[in-house]
Amino acid sequence: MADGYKLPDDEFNSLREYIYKKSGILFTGRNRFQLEMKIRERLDKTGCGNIPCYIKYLGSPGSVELNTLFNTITVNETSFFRDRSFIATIEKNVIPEIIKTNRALGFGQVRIWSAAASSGEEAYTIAIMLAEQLKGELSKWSVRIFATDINDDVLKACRTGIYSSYSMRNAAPDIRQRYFRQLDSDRYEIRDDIKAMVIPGKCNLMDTEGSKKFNKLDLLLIRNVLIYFDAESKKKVLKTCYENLKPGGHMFLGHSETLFGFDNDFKLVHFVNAVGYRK
Amino acid sequence: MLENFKDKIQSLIEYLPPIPGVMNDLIKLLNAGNCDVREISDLIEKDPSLSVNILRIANSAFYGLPYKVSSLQQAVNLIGLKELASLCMFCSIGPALKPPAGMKTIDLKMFWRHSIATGIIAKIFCREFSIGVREDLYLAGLIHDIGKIIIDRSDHDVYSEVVRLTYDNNVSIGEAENKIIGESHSSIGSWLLEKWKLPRMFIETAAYHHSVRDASEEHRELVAVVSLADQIARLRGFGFGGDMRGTIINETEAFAIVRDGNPHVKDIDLAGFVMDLDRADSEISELEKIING
Ligand SMILES: C[S@@+](CC[C@H](N)C(=O)[O-])C[C@H]1O[C@@H](n2cnc3c(N)ncnc32)[C@H](O)[C@@H]1O
Repeated sequence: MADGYKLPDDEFNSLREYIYKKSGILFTGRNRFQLEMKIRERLDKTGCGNIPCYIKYLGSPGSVELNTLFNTITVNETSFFRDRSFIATIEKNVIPEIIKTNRALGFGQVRIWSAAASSGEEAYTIAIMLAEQLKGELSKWSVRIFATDINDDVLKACRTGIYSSYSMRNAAPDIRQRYFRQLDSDRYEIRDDIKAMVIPGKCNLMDTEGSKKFNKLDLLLIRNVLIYFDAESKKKVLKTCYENLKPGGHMFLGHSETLFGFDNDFKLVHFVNAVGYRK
Repeated sequence: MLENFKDKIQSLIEYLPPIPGVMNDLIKLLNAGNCDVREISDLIEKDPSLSVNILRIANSAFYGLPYKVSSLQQAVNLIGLKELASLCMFCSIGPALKPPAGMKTIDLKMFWRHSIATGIIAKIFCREFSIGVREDLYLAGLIHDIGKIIIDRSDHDVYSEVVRLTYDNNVSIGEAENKIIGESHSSIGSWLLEKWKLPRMFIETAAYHHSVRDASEEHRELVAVVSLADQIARLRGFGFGGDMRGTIINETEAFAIVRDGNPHVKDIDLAGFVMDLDRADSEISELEKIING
């Protein structure tokens, strides 16, 4: 049965080449099967019998199929307060430092970028942690947390700010209580003032120009996405990341990701059970 | 800052239990470094609980010996005389510093866990990155923070305040100690070890693990490795004392000193090394069990 999904080698190769060029995402022998499963559905829906036809369709004027393809092939797993030691580090080390430096500068401005934000849980988590520490001062600060992704389906979810209890499974009960409003049996809406801090938008990380506007950052989260890229794309993205940070700003990758082996100017900072990269 | 805290500590050290008899002989041996296998195993056998502990450690994953050791003589032959003597010393320190029943103390379990982790990580670090310092450096790791126990023994409330300040203000423990008691656990630890006449390597580790440059040239690299291991243990979650600060390890003094003697260290995968330290966990808990016996 699985055989029905299998693509001829040359078709698989041209498809993966195309996807790689557009998104930096690299499919290899290891995850070939996933791509084949997912692409089958697109071939059926678009009526394309094979990959050459599908690629032509992707490039035809006015086609939105490329979006749909991205929406189909990306892995969007995420949740609130994901990864305990990362969260503890942000709470104990990073946010207090951001607040301190910006206060010293005399203006309460914070710029944060959750690149590859998926449905936004990560961005809202940071917003909640900031609110917890700024307390009454919150309304006087200008906080911008850019939450971007290549997949516009997940961005839609990010815009609504409505989540299930499953995605909040790591949030403490009192956080759920204070920051969410239950809509019905399993839908919870995030508080308006938290929502106002987060700015969802579409951004393909391969688009260097488009990424540039998320600059002067205090904090950049680019978690659990570089794993899908090959070395070349990673290098390109990391260069933009470095440029987009303020001096002294921090970047965090996913839990077991590191920059080892990549020529870069970041300083490796060890926190308790977490590593960050400082410009 | 508390007045006279230094005097108080110094008199406390005067009154601390003297070094156990067996240990005294062992230390003489360590300092001299020439005596035979029979002599030392006879010495250890005089202290039955020490003998048992030594055999347990010799047979633990920590050494990973190819077969089970059943006599002290065998253990001496396999582990080496000096190493065994240091090991005995470590086994005796815990009991020597045991607080009187009912006394309020810092969490001694966490304290020893941090110390053991420091020693074991120092050992793994040297092996993995081919740093040629003496094999028994982990023993220096095991007692580097001994001064904290002394401060705590002399005034538990004061030391709790030090830990709280460290955590709340995100400062180093040394800073907090200096602010509150005007002395650091480093110097206090070294006073005790000096009083006990331990070999220089241990005294210097206690004294300089937070100011590596001050160590003598002879022991500087070893102190630097222990200092790195101390940081790494903390950053691996084997922390003790409230310090939660982030550290750019390769910009520390300790790292620079290790790198000076071992240029290849410049390119090591530090993030990977720290992340993969799970492999130290079983050794740590095994040694912990033996120490807490
Ligand atoms: C596993 S999620 C990570 C979500 C969140 N950062 C976290 O760690 O919980 C990976 C996200 O990366 C996005 N992504 C993949 N390739 C991308 C690209 N080239 N540009 C922007 N986002 C991309 C996917 O759409 C997906 O939502």
